[in-house]
Amino acid sequence: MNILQVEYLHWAPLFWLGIFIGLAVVVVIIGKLFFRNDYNTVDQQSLPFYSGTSNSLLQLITASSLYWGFKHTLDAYFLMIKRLFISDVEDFIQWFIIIVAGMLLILTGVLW
Amino acid sequence: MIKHVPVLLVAIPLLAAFMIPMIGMVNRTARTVVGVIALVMILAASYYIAGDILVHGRILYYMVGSSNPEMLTEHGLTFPIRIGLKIDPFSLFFIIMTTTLVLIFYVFSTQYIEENERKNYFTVLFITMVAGMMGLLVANDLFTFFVFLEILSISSAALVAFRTERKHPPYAGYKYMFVSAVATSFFLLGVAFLYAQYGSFNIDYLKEAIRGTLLDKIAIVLLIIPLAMKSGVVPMHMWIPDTYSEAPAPISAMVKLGSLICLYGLFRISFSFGMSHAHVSYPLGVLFIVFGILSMFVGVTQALVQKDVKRLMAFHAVSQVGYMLLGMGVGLTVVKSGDASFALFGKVAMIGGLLHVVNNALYKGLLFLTSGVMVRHFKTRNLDAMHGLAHYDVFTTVVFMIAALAISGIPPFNGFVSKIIIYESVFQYNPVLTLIAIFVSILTLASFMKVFYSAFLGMPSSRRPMEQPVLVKCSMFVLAVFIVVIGIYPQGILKAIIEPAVNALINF
Repeated sequence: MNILQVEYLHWAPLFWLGIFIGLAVVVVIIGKLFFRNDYNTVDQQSLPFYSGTSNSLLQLITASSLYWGFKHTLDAYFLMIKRLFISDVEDFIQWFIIIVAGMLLILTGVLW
Repeated sequence: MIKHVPVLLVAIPLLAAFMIPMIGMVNRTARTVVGVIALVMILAASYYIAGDILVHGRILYYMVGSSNPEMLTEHGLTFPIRIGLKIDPFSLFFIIMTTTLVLIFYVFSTQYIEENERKNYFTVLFITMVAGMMGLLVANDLFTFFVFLEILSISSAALVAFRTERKHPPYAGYKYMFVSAVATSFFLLGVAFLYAQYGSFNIDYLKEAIRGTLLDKIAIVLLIIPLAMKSGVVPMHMWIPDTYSEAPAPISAMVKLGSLICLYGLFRISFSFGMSHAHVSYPLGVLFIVFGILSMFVGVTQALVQKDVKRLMAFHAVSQVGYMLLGMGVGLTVVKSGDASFALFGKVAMIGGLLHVVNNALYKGLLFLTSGVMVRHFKTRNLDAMHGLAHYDVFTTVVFMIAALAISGIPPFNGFVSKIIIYESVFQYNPVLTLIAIFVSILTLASFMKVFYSAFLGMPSSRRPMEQPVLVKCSMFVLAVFIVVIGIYPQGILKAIIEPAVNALINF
């Protein structure tokens, strides 16, 4: 197997970068030619719409609120991780001993 | 001159560390300059020997205390000590990476860490840490390796606890010291097991002598698990978020680099002592893969739910170690298989794993430095309280984007190159492993989108914009350039450094 010999593509990032820049230029030209540029930028129509929110700071959804669905779905997993790793120094020793014992059993052929 | 480079790589930073307190009492600028000179000297020395080692295949041996330092045996020793040093392409790869990065991190810290009477301590500990790293990388006997592991640990712990005026850093430093003490004690026990059997600490000698007995296997476990713990492998990783998040930004990057050097020790010992016996190398390789997958998955899922920017980045550090273990683990499982698997994909997986080491050091280093800038601007690590940095600090925004895209494996940055090599080679070993690795990469991207959205986008912050010092910007810029250059032209580093390093790990 050759390094960087990807199955369907040749490794040429500059080529792909060129393609990307070319496409971006085409999009900008099309935008200049066909997109509307007569919208009013001084009033609120250019701002994002958040229903009922008058405070501009509240328009930012905080980091804790992002991916709430993902977190909620994996609640059980995160609870398990929390229980397993309490980040206490005793916890470090406990895991260290478990891994040393487990690896000894595997490498010495008891569990392998 | 070239024959003395192994010892100079350790002696120069050690000497500088002893000089700095005295110079610092007289002139603070001179102290900083001495640190820079020491780091530039070891950088120059590492590049100076690179041609000889990588092109001509020379291996440098050095016996400290010998009248003829290049002699391999104890005959001719002036003093009855046997500190054996060695530089081969594998250690040279790590040496070049380390000498380059420590200089960048040091330059960053010169203006990032506030100038006061404690900066002397900071500088001394920083340079001592570098000496510990260099010693680990050139050590060719296990006891010397242990000594430098201790030097690295002690200086790192002190630097993690550097901000003693705050509540948490001393606790994090203590935690790191405790973990290191436990790890190095077990490591010493493993060294003792081998010494008791074979009467030598020399790694080259032990590699030939080891017979794969029960005691040998116990010793191997006692040697590699402490190094795995110091590398932050799940489930022995929980010291990492506590330590990385409390340390000053350049020290988080340095401790991360120290973890990668422990990974060097892990690979060196695993391949040297395990490779000659298939009944050791195969299960060891499988365990690497299992720990790699665990680290990747647990690290990234934990990172995704963090709201402390530095803890988030620390969990990503755990996750990224998984990729390296995966690549090297696949190589280790097939290295003695006797069939064509190793030539087919095993060696390429190892090349991907090693390339990921240097890529990770670059973008992770840059991410820690940018996180330092973010924390300094917002006076908090809480992502919920950050917004709109892109309005004032375009430079940090751009370099953060480069690092974030690189760690997420987006082309054309360096992370993509090492990840695609790992994906392709590991796919031929087991497609499920590649699928997990790609899934982890997607979660990594999601996690950094969260950081970018929270800290850089949104309404402008009411805080007064802070202009970053020139050296802080320069350090981050150089790291970003490395990330882009390796991404666009990876063939150079692959052919010149990584492939010889993998060959050396297998053959020497």
